[in-house]
Amino acid sequence: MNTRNLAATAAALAALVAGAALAADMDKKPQAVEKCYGVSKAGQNDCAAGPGTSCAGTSKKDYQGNAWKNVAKGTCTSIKTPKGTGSLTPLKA
Amino acid sequence: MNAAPAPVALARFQSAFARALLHDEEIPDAAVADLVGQPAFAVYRNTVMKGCLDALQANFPAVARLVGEEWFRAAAAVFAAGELPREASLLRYGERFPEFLAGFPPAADLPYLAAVARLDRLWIESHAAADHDALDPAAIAALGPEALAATVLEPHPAARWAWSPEAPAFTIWRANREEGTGLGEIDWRGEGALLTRPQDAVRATPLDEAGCRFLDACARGLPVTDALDAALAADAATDFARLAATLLEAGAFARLVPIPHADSGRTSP
Repeated sequence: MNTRNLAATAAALAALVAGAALAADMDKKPQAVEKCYGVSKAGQNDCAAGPGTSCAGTSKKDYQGNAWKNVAKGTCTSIKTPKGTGSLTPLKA
Repeated sequence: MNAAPAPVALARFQSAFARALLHDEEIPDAAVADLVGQPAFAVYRNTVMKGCLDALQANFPAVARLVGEEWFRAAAAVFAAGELPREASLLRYGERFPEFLAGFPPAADLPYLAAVARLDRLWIESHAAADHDALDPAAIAALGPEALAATVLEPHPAARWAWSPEAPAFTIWRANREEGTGLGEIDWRGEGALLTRPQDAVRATPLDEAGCRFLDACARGLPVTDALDAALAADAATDFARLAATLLEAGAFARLVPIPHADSGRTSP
């Protein structure tokens, strides 16, 4: 094994232990949590029996072809990257 | 339907059926070709695709919010066409979606998108990981520095972490997982994240590169001294007291595993 800087390692180990003691001292108030398996936020766990899943699906295709060629309309438009533009540019097909 | 098919014939039917869900042409199985001819098959196809897209949208909420629903579902459809789910539960569907986005040319203008997708993915993994008590920080404090050196800190099954060198992915991700949080000016630099599940709910904590490298080494089963080295290689000024407090308070570890001979090299499990 490589020669370590023993002093640095010892100091780092001591710091880890000190940090652990700090974490142990933090007042832990475990909240009472009730486990509800299979239950999620309303509307997020429905069994997809809505429009589009049954015969309603015949009227409209759910995948919209080349919509990714359009400009994205989400929150990305507000993010400035170092490259400049914060939005996906439309592709000229 | 015909008489019950033999196993080989059944497998062929099933794979032809799966293929027909995505492709119109070249259906090699006559029975499947018959089915595809029925009007109801379009409903079936649509339902399968809708299920995939709903699952991806649910599994990658920050990405969906960033690019908007229309763009997301169209891009997700490209992904789904190349990779249908492999298990009945869709909870883990989309494992390779972040990778897909990284190589998806229309997303090239959003250099943070794949990293944000990875955090969405890690959230799912943390959320669905096995239960385990988190390591009590007092156990390390009681151990002392010398014994700690000869120990492996085993990450908690629900702990996930990622360092994103290119972009402030954690800031962008977190702002887009919560309703109504505006993003203002972003300090453009690499960021890391730690996801843990201390009380049956996933919690996100910022973590620097040294912290991520420390956990990487722990996950590889290396002793604490090697993990220290890995952290120091990323940041020579790592504050280990703060790092230990952050990791332990978040519940990043499951247990301490003593190793018989600290300096005799690596022992394989």
